[in-house]
Amino acid sequence: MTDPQDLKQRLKELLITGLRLQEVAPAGIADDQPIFVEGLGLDSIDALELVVLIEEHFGIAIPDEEVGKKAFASINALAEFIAAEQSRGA
Amino acid sequence: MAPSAPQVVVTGLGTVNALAGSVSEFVAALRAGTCGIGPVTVFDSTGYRSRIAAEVRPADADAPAGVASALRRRLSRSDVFALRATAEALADAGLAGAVPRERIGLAIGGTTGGMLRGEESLRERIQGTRDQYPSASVLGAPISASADVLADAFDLAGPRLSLSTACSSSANALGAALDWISLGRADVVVTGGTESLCRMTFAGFNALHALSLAPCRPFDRERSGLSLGEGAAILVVESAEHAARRGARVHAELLSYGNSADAHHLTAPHPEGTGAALAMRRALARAGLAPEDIDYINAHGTGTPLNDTVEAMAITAVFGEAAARLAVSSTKGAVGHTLGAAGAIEALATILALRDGFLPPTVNLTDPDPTCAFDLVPRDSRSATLRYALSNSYGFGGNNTSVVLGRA
Amino acid sequence: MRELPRVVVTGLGVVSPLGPLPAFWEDLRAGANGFTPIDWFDPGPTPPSTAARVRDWQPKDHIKPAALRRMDRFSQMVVSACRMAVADARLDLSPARAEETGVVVGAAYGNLTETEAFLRGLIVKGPALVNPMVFPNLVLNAAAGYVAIELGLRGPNFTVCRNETSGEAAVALAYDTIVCGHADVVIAGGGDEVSPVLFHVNKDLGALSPGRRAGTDHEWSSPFDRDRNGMILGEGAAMLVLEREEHARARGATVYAELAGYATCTVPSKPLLWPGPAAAAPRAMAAQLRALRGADEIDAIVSCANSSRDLDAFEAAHLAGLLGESAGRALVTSVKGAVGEFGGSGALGTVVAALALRDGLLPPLAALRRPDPACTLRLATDIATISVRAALVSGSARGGACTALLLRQP
Repeated sequence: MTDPQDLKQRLKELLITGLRLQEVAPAGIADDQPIFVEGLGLDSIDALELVVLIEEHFGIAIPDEEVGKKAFASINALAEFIAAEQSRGA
Repeated sequence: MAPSAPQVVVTGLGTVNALAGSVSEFVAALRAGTCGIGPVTVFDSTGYRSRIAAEVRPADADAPAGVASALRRRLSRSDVFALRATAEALADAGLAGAVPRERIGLAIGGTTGGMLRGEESLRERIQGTRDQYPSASVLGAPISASADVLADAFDLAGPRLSLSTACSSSANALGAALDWISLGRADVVVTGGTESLCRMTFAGFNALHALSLAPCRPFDRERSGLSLGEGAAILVVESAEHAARRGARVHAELLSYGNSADAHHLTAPHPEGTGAALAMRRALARAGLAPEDIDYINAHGTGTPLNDTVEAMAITAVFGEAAARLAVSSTKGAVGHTLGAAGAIEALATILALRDGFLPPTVNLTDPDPTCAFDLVPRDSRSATLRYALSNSYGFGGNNTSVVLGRA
Repeated sequence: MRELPRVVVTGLGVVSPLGPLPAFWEDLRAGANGFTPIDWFDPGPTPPSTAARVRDWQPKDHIKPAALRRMDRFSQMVVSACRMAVADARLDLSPARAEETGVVVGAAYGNLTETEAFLRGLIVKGPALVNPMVFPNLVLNAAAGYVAIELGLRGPNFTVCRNETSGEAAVALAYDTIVCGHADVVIAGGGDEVSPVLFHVNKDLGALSPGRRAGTDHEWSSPFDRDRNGMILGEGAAMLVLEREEHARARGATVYAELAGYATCTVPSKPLLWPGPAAAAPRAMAAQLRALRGADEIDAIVSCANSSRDLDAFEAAHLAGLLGESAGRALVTSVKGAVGEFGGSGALGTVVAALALRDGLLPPLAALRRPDPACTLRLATDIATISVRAALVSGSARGGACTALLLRQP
C-alpha cells in the first residue's frame, strides 16, 4: 500500500509533467486545492488527458464523467480515489 | 470584392467517397438519403471506443487504369482518391488540350496526406521489421504530395498550392482558386480536396471522446459525436467568359468565399459562433448578396453536441428572421466527416443540389434539436428550386470558411 | 488586368539558428553559420550528424506560461516570430483592427515531432492510452491557430504546404489576400523544425552532405559550390507584416520594401525529386516576372540553393533564364549555407531580401570555395555594399513548384 504522502507527491509531479504546467513546483499545489480551477487554466481536454495519465501510471480506469469530477476535485480526492481502487483490486 | 473581377463558374466535377465512385452515383445516393457509415476495415479498429467510419469502397480505392505500376506503388491512399476525382473532373470539363498547361492552376486541400502509409512504416520501424523509413512514406506524407502527384499526372503547369486548415482546408482551396482567376493568374483551376482515413485522426478524435458510437446524427437532439469519413472531390473552375468562349457546360456559379479565425481555442468553437458568423457575412458581402437571397445552407454539421449548437446560433445571428425560411442540412450523416476534403465534397453536394433542384437530406436525423430552428431536411431529400446556397466548414484552430454557390 | 493596390513590408520577426533580429542579420553578414553537432536526438553512429538548431530564443520571452503549456515547439517559434514582427511594425492590434488582420503560415511538416510521439504512443500503448492533449497540435494549421488566439486576429487565416517553397507560397498567398481586398494587413511567413524522422529519411536517401569532403571532418553546406555534396537540415520561423501601402502610410509605418508581386508556375518534375535544369525558367514564368514593377532593376537575388547537386544546378539555370540579359547584373546569395534547409525557409529568405533593400547590403555565400563553373550567375562571395533597387526571392521545390517574389525600394 502506497504511503499517502508519497502518492500525493507523485500525483503532483504527474500533474506538472503530464499537463506541462509551467512555473509550478509540487510544493506550489496544495493538497486540498481544486485542480480544475481558474488559476491553472485547465480545460476539458486536460481532464481527458489526466484520465489517460491515471490509467497509464496506476492502471485505474475512470469510467465516466461523474466519477471523474469527484476524483479530480483535488489532490486529496484523487489520492483517496486511487487508494480506494487499489485496495479494491488488491 | 473589386467590381471588375470576373464571374467564376464550375465546369467539371469529380468525386470518390463512401457513397460513390462518380458524381452521378453521388447524386443518386444523396437523393436516396443513403448512409455510408459502416465498420472500419482500412485498419484494425480493436481498442477504439467507436469502430465505424464512412470508408471509400475497395473498388473505388484503386489507382485509376493507366497509372504505371512503379508510380502506383508510391501512391498514398489520398493520392489515389485525388487522381480518380481529378480524372473524372477533367474529363467532365472537356478541356481537350484547348487550354495551355501553364494557364491551368491547382489548389488542393487536405490534412493528413499520406499519413496512413506513414503510420504503417513507423510501426514496422518500431517493431524492428524494417531498418529504414521508406522515404516515400515520409516525404510523401505532407499534404503537398497529392498536388505533386496531380501536377505530374495531368501536366498542370500553372500556380500550385496545397492548403491545410483542418476541416476547412478544401473550402479555402476553392477560395484560392477563385482569387487566382480574379487576378488572372490562371484561366482554369483544378481545385478541391482529398483525405484518407488513418489511425492518427481516428485515435485522436477517439481520445477526445468526439466520435459517435453509432453513425452520426447531425442536429439531432440525441447527437453524440462525429463519424469520420474519407474521399475526394475536385472541381474545375474558370471565368464565365472563358467557359462561354470554349462552349463548356456550366454546372454552377462559384460566387465567393469568406474566412475568419475564432481566435478563441484550438478545438472548441467560440461559444457564440462569432467566427462562424463573420465568415458567412464576409462571404455574403463579397458575393453582393443579402442573407434573404440564400435558399440553402450545407452546414458543417458534424453531429457533435457543441458544433451543431454553435453553428445554429451563428446562422440565426446572420440570417435573423430569414433563418426560418432556410433549408439547412448536413451531408456528414451520409459521407461522414471527411476533414480536409469536407469543404470540397460538401461544395460538390451543394452544386448538385443547385443544378438538379433538390435538397440533400440530413441522414440519420430522427429527432431534430428544437434549438436549431430551421428546416433541417430530416432523412429524406426533396425537390426544391434553389438559386443561391452557402456551404460552411469549420476546422481546428478555429478556422471558419463559407463558400457561396449559385445555380447556373 | 486592373490596377492592384500596392503591398509593403512593415515588420520582420525571426527565430533562427543565428538568433533573432538584429543578431541574425549581423551574423549572416559576417559569414557565420548555425550548424552544430546533433545532440538532441540520436543521429546514428556515422555522419552526417549535423544540423542547424534555433538558438538565443526563449519562448517565455514572447508567450505567457499559461499559453506555452499546450503549444508545441513549432507553434511557439511561429508565435514568437509573429510577436516580434508585430512589435517591429508597431502594429495596432486593438480588437477592431485585429478582427480584420490576417495570418498565413507556410510549413512543409510543421509539428512532426509531436506527430511522431503521438503515433509511437498509439503503436506501443494502444488507442486507449494516446494523449488527447497533443492531438489538436497535430494539424498543420495549429501554429496559425495559436497566432490568432494569442494576438486576437480574426481576419483571413490560412496555412499552406508546398515542400521547400512553403515560405514563399505563404507570402504569395498573403499578397493575393491583400490585393483582392480581403484584408489590409496580413502577417505571413513560415518555418519548420529539424525532426529526427526527417533527418533520418534524408540521411538514408543520401540527400545530406556526408561529411567526407577532403580536408574536413564535418558536413558542409555551400550553395553553388563546385564540390557541394548535399544539404544540411535547419529550422526556424520568420514572419513578415505585409500591409496595403495606403494603410501603412496612413499610420506612419516604417516601410522596409514594397512587395511588388510574384511569378509562379509548376515545372515538370517527378514527385519527391528536384527538377532538372532543362525544366528551368519556363517562358510563362519569365513573362509573369517581367510584368512586375522593378523586374528590370533586380540587383540582388536570395536563391533557395541549398548545396544539393540537383537543386543548385536547377536554380543556376532557372535564375539565368528568368532574368535573361539582366542576369549578369544581379548578385546572388542564399541563406541555406548559414541556416540549412527547411520547408518554411523561404520566409527567412524574404526577410533577407527586405533587409538587403533597407541596408544596401547582401550577405555573402560564406562557405563558397569554388563556384560551380556551370553557374553563370554573379555569386556574392564577400559582404557587398551595393545599390539594391529590387531583390528577387527564388524558391523551387521538390516536385516542381516554383515561386519568385519580387521586392523593391518603397
